[in-house]
Amino acid sequence: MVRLALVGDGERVEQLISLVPRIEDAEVTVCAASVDQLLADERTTFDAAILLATAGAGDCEQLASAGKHLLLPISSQLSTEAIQALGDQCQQQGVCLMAGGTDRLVPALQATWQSLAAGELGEPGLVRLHRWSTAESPGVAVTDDLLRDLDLVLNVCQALPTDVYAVARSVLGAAEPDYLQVHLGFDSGAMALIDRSSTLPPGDGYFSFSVIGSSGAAYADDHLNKQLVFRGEHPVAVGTGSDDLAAVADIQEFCHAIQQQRAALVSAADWLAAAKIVATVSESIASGSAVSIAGGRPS
Amino acid sequence: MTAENTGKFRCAVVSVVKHGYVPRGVAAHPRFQLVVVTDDADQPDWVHERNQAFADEFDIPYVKNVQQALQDYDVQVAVVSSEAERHCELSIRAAEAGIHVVQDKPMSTSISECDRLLATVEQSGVKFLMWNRNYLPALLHARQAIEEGQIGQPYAIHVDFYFAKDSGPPKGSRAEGEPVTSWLDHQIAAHVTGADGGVGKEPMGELKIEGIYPLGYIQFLLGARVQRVFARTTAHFHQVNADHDVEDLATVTLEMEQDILGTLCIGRIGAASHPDIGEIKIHVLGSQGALVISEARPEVAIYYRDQPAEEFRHRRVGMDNDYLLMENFAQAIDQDGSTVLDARVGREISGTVQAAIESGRTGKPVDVV
Repeated sequence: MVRLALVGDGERVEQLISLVPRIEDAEVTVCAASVDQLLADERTTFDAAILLATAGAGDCEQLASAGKHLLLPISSQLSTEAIQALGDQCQQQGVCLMAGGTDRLVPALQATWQSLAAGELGEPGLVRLHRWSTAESPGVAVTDDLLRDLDLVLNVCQALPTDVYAVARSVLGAAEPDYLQVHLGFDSGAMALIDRSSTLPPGDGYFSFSVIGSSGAAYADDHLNKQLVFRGEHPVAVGTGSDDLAAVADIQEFCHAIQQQRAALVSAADWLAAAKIVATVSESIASGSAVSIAGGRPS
Repeated sequence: MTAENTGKFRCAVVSVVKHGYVPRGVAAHPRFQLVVVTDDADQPDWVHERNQAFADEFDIPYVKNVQQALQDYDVQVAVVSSEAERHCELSIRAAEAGIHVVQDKPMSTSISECDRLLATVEQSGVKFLMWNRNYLPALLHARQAIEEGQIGQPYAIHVDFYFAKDSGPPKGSRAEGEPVTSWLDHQIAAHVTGADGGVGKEPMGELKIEGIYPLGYIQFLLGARVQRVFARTTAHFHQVNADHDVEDLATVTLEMEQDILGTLCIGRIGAASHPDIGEIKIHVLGSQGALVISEARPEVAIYYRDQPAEEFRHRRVGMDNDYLLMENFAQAIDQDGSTVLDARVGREISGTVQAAIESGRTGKPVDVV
């Protein structure tokens, strides 16, 4: 049984507590608003911490030093150096570090990974990803979601790109770009295009993920997964919703990795690989040119 | 140059070596009448055979002399659907004779030929239409939504243009020492499946063969010229593309006028990769919303026992592209207006394609000339 500590506050904690009964061999033994609060009481017993909000490097180091496994949301707020150091520390301490909230375990993408793994799609040639969200938090959201997007692309190609070209715009006038396009090329000849916008009006976002392989293709697209609701005038397209399943799958994978003493699905190395590409994206935007980097399989 | 007497335009089909969708499309409009098929006498037998077959189907004569046919049959419109490298030359000869031109894609295999055609069309004052799909129902709907301001000011556009067709054996299937099939022989053989869009002697990748369609959509919807591109290109699927070093998969970053950004994904991705002709989608982002458009819709799903594997399960309906293109062409002639994809826009798109191919080779962004 993996004893879990939930670190965070608000509705998200309640939501996760309600999901944990669906996880095999796991229970929540403690909830705390912060890492400091969690570690302040020496009587608390837990094996692993789930951080619901982006944590600082110091918090993560404290938990790892205490021998606690870590599931925390992938975020651009940790530098590549901090991710590297944290990954090294976790390895030395023998604790599992998993980056969560990456979309790897979203149901539509799980089906895509299974098809890829079974060889049905052949050699990946193209990954095409659109992710659009609302204008509620421009700037930061674009960068954060880019990490998630890059993680998905790198997982398909199983390699780092050799060429990166990116362009960005501030459409709604914010200081940070609220629109971004990333174009990646890989040694194998594979390529990827990501466009990320945070300019939609309030409401649902849009996500589309396609993989074109040498012998098949997968199309995971919100456009295909909408139902119609009629309330007068034009009908409204409504998503069928399976957000909880991805969160359950994230925690389940984390617990399995701990129990099986293996690396989690999205490790520090995966996070670091995506973070390095984010840095290259920024370099390309600033220079207005394509940036060549050492590609190949991530170490 | 006008059809004063009958209201009809007499059309010469000037070479028809593919599956004839352009002259068939022209004939879909009641004001355009196919009266003769013609080509140069020195063409190879397979060209004459296809021209003759089309002439027989429409019960019109086949004349192996282009100049004579244009004169003798009182022709006002030339419909050019030859091998790609002959497109411009045949169109130029028609334009120089004062005859309007409807031409198959690509505009040409070379930019200098596009320039020569553009100059001739503009000097002669004839009307020119590059065949396109801009009047598909989905495109018309998208354009209306944009023009009505439903998504605010457009700032980005993305087009996926995947043809789920095979182009011969898959990459890696040619045994060591086995001879390379010539591009032309491959295209001639592909005629039976309709996958001969690149017919001609000069090998062409998907950007050249099909690029006019998605880039035409972008121009039609936003009216913005592409200024700079970054592209990745590869032969990922088919042996014939790998053998002739032309891409069957490409991605292009587009930087356009009015600060608009965009991307294009294009590929001949193989018949196994989609149940129908292919995933073709258009995404437009605006300052106040966005559009996600499936080019195939409206469509009807039809399934039945013993349905052939190669038959599309989803059939497009409400297709009026052929008629609307030719109505646009007729109006351009009648009112001395421009066509929906004229020689200047065709030249601009060819320039974008050429820049993308160069970018794919160099790995650097390239300005469109």
